[in-house]
Amino acid sequence: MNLLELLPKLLDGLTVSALMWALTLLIGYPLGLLLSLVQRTPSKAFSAIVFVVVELGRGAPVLVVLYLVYFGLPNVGVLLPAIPAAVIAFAITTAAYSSEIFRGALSSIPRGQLEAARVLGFSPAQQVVSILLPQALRVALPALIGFAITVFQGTALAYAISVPELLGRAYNEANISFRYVEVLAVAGAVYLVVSLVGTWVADRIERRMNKAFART
Amino acid sequence: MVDILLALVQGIGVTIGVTGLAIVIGLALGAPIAALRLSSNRVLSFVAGAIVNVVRGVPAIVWLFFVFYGLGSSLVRFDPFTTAVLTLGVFAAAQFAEAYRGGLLSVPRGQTEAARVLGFGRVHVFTLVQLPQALLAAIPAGATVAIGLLKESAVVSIIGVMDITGRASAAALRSSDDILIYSLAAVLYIALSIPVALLSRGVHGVLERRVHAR
Repeated sequence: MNLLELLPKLLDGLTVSALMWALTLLIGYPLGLLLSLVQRTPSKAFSAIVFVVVELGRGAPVLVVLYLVYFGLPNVGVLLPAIPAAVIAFAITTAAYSSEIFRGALSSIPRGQLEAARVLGFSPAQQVVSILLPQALRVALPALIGFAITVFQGTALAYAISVPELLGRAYNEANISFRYVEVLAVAGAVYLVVSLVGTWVADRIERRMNKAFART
Repeated sequence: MVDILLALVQGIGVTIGVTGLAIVIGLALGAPIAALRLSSNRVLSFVAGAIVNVVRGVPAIVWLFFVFYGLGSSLVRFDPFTTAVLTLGVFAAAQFAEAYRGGLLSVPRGQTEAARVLGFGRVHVFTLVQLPQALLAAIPAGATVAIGLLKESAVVSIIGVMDITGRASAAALRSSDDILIYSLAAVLYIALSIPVALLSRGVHGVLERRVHAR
């Protein structure tokens, strides 16, 4: 087997990885933002629930959460195919981790701004949408991009429930050709390229934003 | 439920063993990597930076497969436990190197310059001025790395190491209480991470008192 035959197969796997990654971020980040906003409400019951969700999502290994969703949920009648199960498991941990990023960003906005807005007659929803979020999301962006790279690497765990993603395809090809070193090295290189490019993009965005902040 | 718990508890020793040994390797290997990265020799610092980025840029489970199935099929064959410890150890080294580097960079340059002017030798500047403060500053990041490794260590079950997750998978095959089994496994990992957090806080407190007493 040569590289030209191998690469298209690995790229098929990469497509599955990228799909899980995109869905995980699309579900996980908004959920994380929601968790962090709920935590700010005075309701003790709500913040207690959020605390438990966040601690479970951050404290347990992603692999265990994945098994819990894929093998555990059928116990209560929820049977999911492998890819949706992986996306849900990854989205839970992503939401838990990103809620901490959002929480930090939200608390970086001075309280006085919200008090001023209230005096000016902004409703609580308006305060969040037009004052808190536009600023907090900018603060959170570099950390969110950085964490997105970690999330991409985490998609490799879906191999454990037989999702045909990048690692799964590579291992399959290695089993057929018996060229484990070469095939797994190429797969590793693909992950490496994705994270290096991601890190470079995150650095650039952070630098550009620092400049923008310095100007204002 | 008791028999499930007993089965999972048997894996705790292995989880602690893999994580603990990986942390020891990581702390030992991370220091020279951080030193090279901060050296004024551009080639050395580039090589050290490249090592850190390559190790961290590939998921731990892919490294595990590369070492176990890749290198294991042709060059050196290790048993699953040794493979897990060595691979996670190198993975840990790259992350601890970043923690050390952050700690060393947090010590203001003026202090080292002042110490040199006061007649301290290079070694003493490092051991008496830079190192104590750098270690203190590196502890929170180091603790985050250690707790991350504890959770990351669950992937070693995929190559057959019977850690908590490995025991959980085996128990789940024999029964139909998967949801209970994996929930208990999750709780065990959370419980294990608490002493690490407390230990780091304790060490941080002790160091802080000693550094500021000087």
